[in-house]
Amino acid sequence: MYLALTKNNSKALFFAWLGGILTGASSFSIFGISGAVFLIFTAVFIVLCETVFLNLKTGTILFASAIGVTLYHFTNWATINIFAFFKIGVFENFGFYFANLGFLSELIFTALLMLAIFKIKNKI
Amino acid sequence: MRNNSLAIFFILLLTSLVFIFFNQSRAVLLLKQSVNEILKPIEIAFAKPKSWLSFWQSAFFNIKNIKESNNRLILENLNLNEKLAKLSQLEEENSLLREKLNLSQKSINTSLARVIGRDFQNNRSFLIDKGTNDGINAGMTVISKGETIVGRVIDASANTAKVQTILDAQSRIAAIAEKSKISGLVRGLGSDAIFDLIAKDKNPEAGELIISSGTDGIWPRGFVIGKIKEAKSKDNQVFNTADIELSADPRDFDSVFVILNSQ
Repeated sequence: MYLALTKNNSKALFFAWLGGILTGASSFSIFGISGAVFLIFTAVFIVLCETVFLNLKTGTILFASAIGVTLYHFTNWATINIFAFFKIGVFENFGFYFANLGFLSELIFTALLMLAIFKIKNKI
Repeated sequence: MRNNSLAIFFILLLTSLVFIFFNQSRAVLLLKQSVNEILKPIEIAFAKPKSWLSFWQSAFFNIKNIKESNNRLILENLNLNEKLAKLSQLEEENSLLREKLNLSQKSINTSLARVIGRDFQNNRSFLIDKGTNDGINAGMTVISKGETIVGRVIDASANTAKVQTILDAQSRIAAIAEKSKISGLVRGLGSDAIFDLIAKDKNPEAGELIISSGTDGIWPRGFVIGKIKEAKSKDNQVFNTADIELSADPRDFDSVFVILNSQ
């Protein structure tokens, strides 16, 4: 998200995909799905950064973090269910991705982390 | 730049699709295994902080539940403590009743009484909650658990009675050492008692049990008084003496048995 917000799109796409592949190696879902999810999510986020998140103010970063986390969970759910439709993997409940403490913690933690990174890099 | 990003996106997406659709192929499985092996040390390193974070996350969002659970547990604990106290009381009562039954089986008729007052200054006497209305009279022997002599009723009113302990300076019990059969007199000294009037040529062993001999016609026979601690013999004295350790410390019990009759 940091790379996307700072317009390093190619790097953002590559590192997102790589992160997805690495996390997918030890998760319960099919290998490759996490990579695809992170890639699609990053692509959509890049589009949003170029249309909505035009500056790097504190408010924008917080908003972008919240949108980013929500978008990631949604993309995850949608991608897994699309592949399940093609008989790869199983269908998963929408609530499983949102109605839990993990989602809430991620929102808070991501926002704080993003603010910290931008602060350290002196971008805000 | 934009075309560059687009190209990268499609290449990486294609790669992911290959992995997904050929996820059971040997190459993909090998790749997954290799990545797993590389990441294992990092996973292990992150396991503990992850678990710590998970714990505090859960704690933070469950504060209300934790507080309610805590209050409930405090109340439960109080109730359990109360039950425990009652249980201890019942256990004590049970033990006393068993003792009473044991004495009844030996044809020793007793009355169970509670200690309701003590002479804290010198432990020479105490008050019990039974009196003449319960068949208690002056002169009756008072024992505690284990058929141990504690004292004698010296005064009885309608509902209470005063017991003089064997520590009292006026208390005298004809006694005998159980093993060596050495006879003597257990005499109260106020804070302690001694085994006195032991024949000059006799020396009881340390640890020997002292029991009432019944030869004085006042105290019943065969009840435990204490144990010999140390025998003493002095040239300028006519008799030997011995320090004794009482089996029943008058300060330690809450209930006693008054012997109504003994056969």
